Amino acid sequence: MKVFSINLRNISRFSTSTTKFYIPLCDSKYYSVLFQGSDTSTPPHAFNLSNTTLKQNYLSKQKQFHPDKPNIDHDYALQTSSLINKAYETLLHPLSRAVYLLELNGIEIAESDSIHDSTLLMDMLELREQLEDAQSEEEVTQLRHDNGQSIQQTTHLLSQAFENNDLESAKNLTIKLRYLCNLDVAARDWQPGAPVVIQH
Amino acid sequence: MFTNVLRSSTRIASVARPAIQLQPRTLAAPSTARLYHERVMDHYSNPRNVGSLNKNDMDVGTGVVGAPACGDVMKLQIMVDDKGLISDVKFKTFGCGSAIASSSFMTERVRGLTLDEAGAIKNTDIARELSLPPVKLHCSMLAEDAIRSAIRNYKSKAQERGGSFTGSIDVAQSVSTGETTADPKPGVV
Repeated sequence: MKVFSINLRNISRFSTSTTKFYIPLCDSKYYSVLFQGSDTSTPPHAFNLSNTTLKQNYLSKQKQFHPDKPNIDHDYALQTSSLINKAYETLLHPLSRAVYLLELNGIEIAESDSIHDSTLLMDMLELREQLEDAQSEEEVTQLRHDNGQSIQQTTHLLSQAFENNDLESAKNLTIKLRYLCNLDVAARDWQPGAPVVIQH
Repeated sequence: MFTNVLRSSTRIASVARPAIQLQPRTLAAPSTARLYHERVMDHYSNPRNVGSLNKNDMDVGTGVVGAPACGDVMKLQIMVDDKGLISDVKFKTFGCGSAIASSSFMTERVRGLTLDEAGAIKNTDIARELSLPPVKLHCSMLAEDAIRSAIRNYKSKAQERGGSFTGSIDVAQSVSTGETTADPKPGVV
């Protein structure tokens, strides 16, 4: 536990020397922040996480480093608490967790990357056009439901790819998951006659 | 002292009262204007040439490209007339404002051009015209990829049906002067 807190102090000192609070992605910081010192033995760099365990750990860590606690350095607690939040947010959602895991493995989905999987693009285009042409709430609900199943299926395959250390497949599946998640947001924000623009 | 109190009280009043009148004018514009240049906003709020052409038509080339980092998908279609010029352009982009603006701008830019001219447009031209910030440069790259992909698609269709798209250049050399003349004949489909 002591090692853990020294680690965090280093981060907080690092952050004061730069203008932006920056957490280097070259180690598994988000995993250690939430799992180190806890009873649950989650292997490092695991894609398969139990949301319940994740939430439990998150709450207990937040309790431990709450800035309002007596006998705790306020600034230190504040920064630690913020780091715990970031770790939780990143690891909670399969998409951000996958992107983070890929980064840990030195794989980046770069802005200059192009997509070679034309089937994925054609499928996504078709679904987006379907959503665009949708006339009723029911159509959109159905589309979102089907898309939700695709998200589940892709997440499952992603989990297998990470387990087999098949990072090439993991990258492709992560790209697919991003498209599916964007469609989910678009379907969620759908309103009759209004165009949907993704903010990112 | 008294005037101070008076001033501060009127300030409070003036802030509190016109909130309802001010909201539509002040809130709507700056939140987006700060993020995007006005030209982007113009192409984004009034995108030109949105729609589809029949992708099965022989004189239509379709390009579908995507940006894996942000999950955008862009479709750009060109119609090529019998002189080899781009006579119609349509696009559909599902993505952020910059991607929509880039593709809208591209459609205006390539209309009336030859395929070679259209294929030579660089993403930096678009980025400059729209004043895209560095973080959005990939949106202009996407538009460049899209037009090239549409041109490739059109050309492969033309070749498939054995069309005379490739065109020809008649080169002649004068026996007496040795002067060479070239007479380009653009492909007619």
